[in-house]
Amino acid sequence: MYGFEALTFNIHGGYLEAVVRGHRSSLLTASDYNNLCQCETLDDIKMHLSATEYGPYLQNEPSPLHTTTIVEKCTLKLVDEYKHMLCQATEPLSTFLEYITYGHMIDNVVLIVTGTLHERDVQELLEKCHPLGMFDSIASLAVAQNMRELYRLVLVDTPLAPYFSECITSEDLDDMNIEIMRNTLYKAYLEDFYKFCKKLGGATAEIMTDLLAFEADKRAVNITINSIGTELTRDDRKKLYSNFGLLYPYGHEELAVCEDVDQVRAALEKYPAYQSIFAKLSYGESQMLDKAFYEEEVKRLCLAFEQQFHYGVFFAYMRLREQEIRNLMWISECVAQNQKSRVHDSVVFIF
Amino acid sequence: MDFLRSEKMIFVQLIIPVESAHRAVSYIGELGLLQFKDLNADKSPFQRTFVNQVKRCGEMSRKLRFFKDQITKAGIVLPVRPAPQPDIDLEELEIQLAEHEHELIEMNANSEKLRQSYSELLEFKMVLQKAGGFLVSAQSHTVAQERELDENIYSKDDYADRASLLEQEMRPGPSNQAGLRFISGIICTSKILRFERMLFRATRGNMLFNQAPSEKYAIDPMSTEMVERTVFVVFFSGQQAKTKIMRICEAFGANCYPVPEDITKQRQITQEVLSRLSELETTLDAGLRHRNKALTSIGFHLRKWTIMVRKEKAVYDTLNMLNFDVTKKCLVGEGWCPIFSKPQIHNVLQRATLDSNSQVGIIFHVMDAVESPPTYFRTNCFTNAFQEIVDAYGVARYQEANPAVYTVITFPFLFAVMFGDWGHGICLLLGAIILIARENKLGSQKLGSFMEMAFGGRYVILLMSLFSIYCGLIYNEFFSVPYHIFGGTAYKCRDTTCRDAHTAGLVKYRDPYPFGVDPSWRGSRSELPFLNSLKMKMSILLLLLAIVAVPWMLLPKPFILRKQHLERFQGRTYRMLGTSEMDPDGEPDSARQHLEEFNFSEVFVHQMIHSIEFVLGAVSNTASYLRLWALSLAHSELSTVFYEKVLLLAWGYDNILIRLIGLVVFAFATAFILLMMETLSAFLHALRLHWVEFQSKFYHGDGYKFKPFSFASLPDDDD
Repeated sequence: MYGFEALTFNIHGGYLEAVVRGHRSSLLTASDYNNLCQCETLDDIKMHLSATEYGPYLQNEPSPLHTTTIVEKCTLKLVDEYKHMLCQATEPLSTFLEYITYGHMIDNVVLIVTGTLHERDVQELLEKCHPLGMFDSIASLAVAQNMRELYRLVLVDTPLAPYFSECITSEDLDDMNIEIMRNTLYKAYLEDFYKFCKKLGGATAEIMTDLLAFEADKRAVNITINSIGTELTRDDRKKLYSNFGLLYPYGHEELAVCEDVDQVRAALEKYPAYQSIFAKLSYGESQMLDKAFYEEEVKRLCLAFEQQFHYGVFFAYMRLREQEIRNLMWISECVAQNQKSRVHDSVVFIF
Repeated sequence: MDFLRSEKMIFVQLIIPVESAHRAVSYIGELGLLQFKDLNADKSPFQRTFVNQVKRCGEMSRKLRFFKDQITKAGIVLPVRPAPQPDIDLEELEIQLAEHEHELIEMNANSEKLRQSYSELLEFKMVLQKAGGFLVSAQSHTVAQERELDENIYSKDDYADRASLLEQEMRPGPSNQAGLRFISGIICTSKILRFERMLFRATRGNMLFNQAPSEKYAIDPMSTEMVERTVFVVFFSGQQAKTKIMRICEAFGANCYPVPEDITKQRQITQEVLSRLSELETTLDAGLRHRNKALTSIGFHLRKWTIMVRKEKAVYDTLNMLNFDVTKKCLVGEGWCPIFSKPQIHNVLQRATLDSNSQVGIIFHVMDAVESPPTYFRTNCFTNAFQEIVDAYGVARYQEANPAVYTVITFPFLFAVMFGDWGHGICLLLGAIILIARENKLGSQKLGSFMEMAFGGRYVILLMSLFSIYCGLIYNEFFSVPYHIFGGTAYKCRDTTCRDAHTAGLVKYRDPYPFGVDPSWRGSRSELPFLNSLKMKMSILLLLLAIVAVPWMLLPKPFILRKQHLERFQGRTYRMLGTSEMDPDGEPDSARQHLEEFNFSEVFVHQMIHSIEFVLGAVSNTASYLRLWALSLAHSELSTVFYEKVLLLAWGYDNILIRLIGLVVFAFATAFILLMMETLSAFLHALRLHWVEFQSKFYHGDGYKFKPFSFASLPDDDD
């Protein structure tokens, strides 16, 4: 019932929406980032963060800190919050929250499979996995030799199973088809999430379809840029684009034939929504494109908080927090490696 | 001590030579009567002067937390009164802490290694027993005839299968060509199902899985947690399957241990394992004793150290609020303190100068302040709770009339109007008396959140109960039973049979009942109308009180304001100009701005609007005061229901059991519904009446609280 969420939303979702909005208000602000960027050592960063909500998570860390510890602890906070929300959630919000983690699950699967392909230690790989994308039998991914086994042994138990239908082959795994698998899975995941949000209806559908469409378009652009100069054929490339979004279907046709970054730019500049992103970049540049996309995404995510009674806030919050953790990682890396001049290169201010 | 107005505050400046700064600030912290103003608000925490000291304190408190954690984990009970220890300074403490931490970490690492091998051996022992059990039980049932190894072992009888498989296993020679082997190990019970399923899938069902839960909880060698674990044996054939299974074991965190097939060998290994286990046990015990000793010695001083570090950190945090003067030899601090504390602070500062052998004294002088001072009410244990009630609505503006003074009486009274029942009042009184009698004991220990609340408001409860008894006597309510406390009733029946008592009524035959409601009203037809009119008159009374204020607001107030303004304007022309220049954007709503452009007609109109608003508000508030009547009615009706429909009903039966049940139900309903819930609801409504109806009439409540730098009020982050 569109427009009538206000009547019933608070019965199940009210508490959690309040919780998530509370969490949102604890996101680091621009002044926090300004202070963080002035830090000289990682201890300074810890000290500054101890005044924020990250404090309890960092206070028991012994003094020679590492970037990984900071990131790990900050992620732990996000995971704790997520788990708390998931425990409190009822259907369909709990399913919605679970959908948010599937992206991490795909990344983790790919990480482990690539890692074992390069004969890395499984325990070491597991430590690198994003804790939100963990599932029970993730360690046994290392057993599989090809896609079919991967599916039959491990993934059939996970929520990713339905997304696998398109990439079951008996081919041995290699870097190329793992990457294709990642993108195929991601495509199926995004489409499924999109469908799910549409089904939820109301403001959730309205906001989430926008956010997901942006995500899909962003991925399409990334796929295009990353596949330039590889042996991926045009048709294969086009198969990896998600079948929704602003660029679908005509933009996809154009992206599929692009051969350098400027062509991608030309294709995207026909869409007013993306003009602003490219307006900031000079021609031939793809380095800063990521940041430009992140900035646009953060802007859109923040807008999701402007409406009430919808689930988009949960998605937006998780994404914003992840962006914040990325920022913290970048800042700490820059501080640790004495590259403070580059600190602003990749930090996306949220507020 | 002035209850109605907050303490007079002065804004002071301190100029402290660097060498005595630390001591001076810590003495001030002990005194706890000076609120420092942050002069470095624009600087981030790590740009301040004493950031390194703060960091060191943070590091030390981390170490102390680590010790505390270790001590609790080891289950050592700390002595309540720690042994006195000579005072040590921060540097020494820091070195000591580092030593202790180093020692402890080393010990932990050693015992960790030992424990790991111990639990591994323990697991091995379990695997040997259980898996050996599988093998032995299979062997003893071995039947002579050979069986072909069936592809689909699950279709067969499990037992026979196991036998045949093992039989082949044991026997060297051609029948073992299928390459049947087994892997045994131990795994968390929670993972066993998924593990089995994964094995089944990976080997396409060509395996046999046996499991047996271990008797006791075992420590996982990896995570050092106590978990329930299960021993398993997997039988399979083929090299490829083996690598797969090994990998799955690894992935599931199952620890595999080789079990020899031969029984004698098995026994031998078991013996070995057992002897090594007992060896390790003694080593572990010794290590544990040593560690416990070290921890106890740390625990002796832990509390003292924690307090010391916390104080040091607070001192440095405060020092960070101070500014260096131009010469860099002095620290400059500004802050608020109550006027009465000036000599005390003087004393303390002098003592600091003397104790730190400083050549230069600390300069302490009063300054003019542009912002409004903080509000500071000195409270005692009795008024504290009432002050809290008022502060929860808003902290009084500086020198504003303090509603807490009235609240001390009006709050319990309004509560009692709703809760009037002297029986329930006595119950509450008993509770309050218990809380107050054990004040010293309860005050020193940690309480649960609810108890904490009840304890904090013990004097509120005391007054509430006393007033409830008073109002209960007026209403003549005692668990809704009428009592003739103050002599007999003033009414009697018309004739001796009393037939028409409920139809024609009673006659008055002597002086009215001396205090409160005549008990004869109870149960009469006109009881409700009579009591309602009694209770409702209360709110009308309050309305009248409010109306009295109207003409006062409407007419004299503007004139008085005008007069005040004229007087002030004449006296302070020059002064005004100076300060307003210094602080152009001082306080937008301070009186000064209004005074400068005093317009009589404007004030008059404003006052008129205010009066109209006030009258309207008073009328609607009167309606709000009706809740006094409503809740009191609800309370008495509820208690009547419980008394008549439960207790009297049960008493009507001549059965001891039913009477007993009735009594229990009545007691519980009284305790939980009438005493707890009704207390809470009456409390809530009394709160509202104070905050909304009472305080909104005069109280601004936009001040801020005086928060002196004080060691006593440091947050206790022990838990």
